[in-house]
Amino acid sequence: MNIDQLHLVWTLVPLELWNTLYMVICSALIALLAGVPLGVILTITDRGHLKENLWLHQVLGTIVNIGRSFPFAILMVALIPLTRLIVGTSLGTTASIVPLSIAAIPFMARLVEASLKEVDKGVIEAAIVMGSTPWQVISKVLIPESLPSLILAVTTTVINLIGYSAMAGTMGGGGLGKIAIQYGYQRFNVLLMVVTVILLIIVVQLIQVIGHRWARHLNLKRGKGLNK
Amino acid sequence: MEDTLIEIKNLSKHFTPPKGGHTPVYALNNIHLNIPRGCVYGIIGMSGAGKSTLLRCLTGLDIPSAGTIAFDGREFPYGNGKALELLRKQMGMVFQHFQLFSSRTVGHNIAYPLEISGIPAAQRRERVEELLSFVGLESKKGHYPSQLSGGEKQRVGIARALASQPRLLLCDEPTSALDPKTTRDLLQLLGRLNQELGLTIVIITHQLETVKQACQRVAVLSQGQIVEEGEVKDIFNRPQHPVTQHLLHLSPEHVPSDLLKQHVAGKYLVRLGFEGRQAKQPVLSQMLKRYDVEANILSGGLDYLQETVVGRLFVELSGSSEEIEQALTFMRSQHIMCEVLQ
Repeated sequence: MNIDQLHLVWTLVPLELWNTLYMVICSALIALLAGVPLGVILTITDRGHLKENLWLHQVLGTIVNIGRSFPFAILMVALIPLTRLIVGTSLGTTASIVPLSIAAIPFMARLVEASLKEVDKGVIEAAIVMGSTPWQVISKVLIPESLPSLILAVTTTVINLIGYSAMAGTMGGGGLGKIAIQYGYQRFNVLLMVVTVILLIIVVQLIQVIGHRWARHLNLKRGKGLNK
Repeated sequence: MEDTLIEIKNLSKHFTPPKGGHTPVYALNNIHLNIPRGCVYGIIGMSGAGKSTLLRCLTGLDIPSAGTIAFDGREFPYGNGKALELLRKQMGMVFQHFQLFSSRTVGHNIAYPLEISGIPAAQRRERVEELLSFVGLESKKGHYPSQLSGGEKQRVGIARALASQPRLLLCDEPTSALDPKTTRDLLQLLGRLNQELGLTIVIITHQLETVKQACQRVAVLSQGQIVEEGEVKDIFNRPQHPVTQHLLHLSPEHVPSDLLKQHVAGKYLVRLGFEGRQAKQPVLSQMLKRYDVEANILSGGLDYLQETVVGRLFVELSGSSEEIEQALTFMRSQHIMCEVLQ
C-alpha cells in the first residue's frame, strides 16, 4: 500500500459517498412524496374500503406492477429519453435521480399499501361512524395507526435505493458505484474496493438501525411488544 | 309516537350471494321498530339474527335494500356523505372490541370526535378532563390503550362516544368481551348516563344478562325479523316466542342433548321452576327425604330479575311411578312449578 493509493481514497471516496447520499436522499424524498399518496389510493380504492373504486384500483395496481417488473438496469436504459427531457443529460449524479425515483415510487407504494392494510377495519369504521371525513380518516387514523410500519417501509425503500444507486453509478451515474466500476473492476484497486464496501455496509446498517429503532420506539410507546 | 327518537319502518336488507345465485339472502326482513327518547333499549338475538346488519344500517355503514330509518323525525341521508357525517356526530357508538386508536393516548382518543368537529384545543382539553372524571379514569389520561384493562378500554370507548354530546348512544355487544364484574360496572355506568343525562341508549347483544341488568325495553331479533318486543319484565316473565324462550333457557333444549338421548324409559325428566322465597328453601332435599325417589340434577340456574330470584332446574327422577307422583304433588304443594317433560 503506497501514499498514492491512500491519496486516491482520500480524494475520491468522500466525494462519491456524498454523491451516493445525494442521489439516495433526493430520490427517496420523491418516492415518499409520490409513493405514499399512491399507496393510500391503492388502499382506499380496494374492495370494501373507504372509497371503493375497483376500476381505479386495478389500473393503478397494473401500473405499479409494470413499474416493479423492470429490473433496474433495464429501467434505467429505457428511461434515458425521459431523463434527458427532465435533466438535459442522461449522465451524472443528478440524472440518476430520475430512474431511481421512478423505480422507488411503485416499490414504496406497495409497501405503504401493505402497511395501511394492517390497520384494523373496525378502527377505520369506528372513525367513520364518529363522523370523520374520508380525509380525516386517512390523516388522523390510517397513517398514524400504521406509522411504525410505514417507517420500516421507508427504511426498506432507502436501502433498496442504495443498491440501485450503485448500479446507476456503474452506468454513467456518480457515487460509490462509480468507484467500484472504474477503480475496482477496471484497475483492480483492492484498497478502494474494500473501503467502498465497508462504507456501504456502514451506511446501510446505520439506516436500518435508525429505522428499526424509531419504529420500535413508537411501538413501545404505544405499549406493544418488542418484536412488532 | 310523540317521543320517538328512532323510527324504523319496513326495513329490509338483503345480500346477493356471491357465486351467481339468484335468491337474495335476507339479513333483515321488514323490520318495524320505534325507539323512544330517553330509553335504554335492548336488541337481543343469537348470532346471525341480523343484529349487526341492523346496527350498520343505523350508522349508515350499510344501505338498506328497502324501508326507512328516521332519526328524530328526519330520514337517514343514505348516499349523502356530508349529511351522514353531520348525523353521525349526533350519535355515539361503543364497540365490542373497543376500537380505540392505538396511536393516541386515552386523552387524545377521547378528544378525537371534538378534533374532527374543529373544536379549539383549550375547549377540547376541558371536555376531556370532564369526561375522564365521569368515567373515573383521570389517572390514565396519558396512557396508551394497550396499557389498559378491558373494562378501562370500554370506559374510554364510552367517554369517546360521549365527547360530542350525542343524542343517541349505540352499543354493539358492549359487554361480550368483559368479565361479569366488569360487565356489571359498565352497565351501571350506562344506567347513570341514561338517568343523569337523559341519554337514549341502544344496546345490541346476545347476552341476556346485559338486557336484564340495563334495559327498559327489548326487541328480540331472529332470522332478520323482530319476533317479540316490549318491556323487559313482560318479555322475560311471559316469553311468547320460542327464540325468546330459548334465550331464557326455559325450553328443554337447554338440557344437554346427549342426556336427553340417554334418557331411559321409566325415569321422569322434570323441569322445576321456583321463584322468590322458595328459591331459598331446601325443597328438593326435603322431597328426597320424604319419598323413595332418587334425583339426578341435569342442569339448572338462578336468575336475578328485577330483584326477584327466579330459578329453574332439570332433574331426572327415578323410582316407582307412584312415589314419583307423590313427590311431585308434594313439590307442587310447596309452590314449585313442576312439568314432566318425558
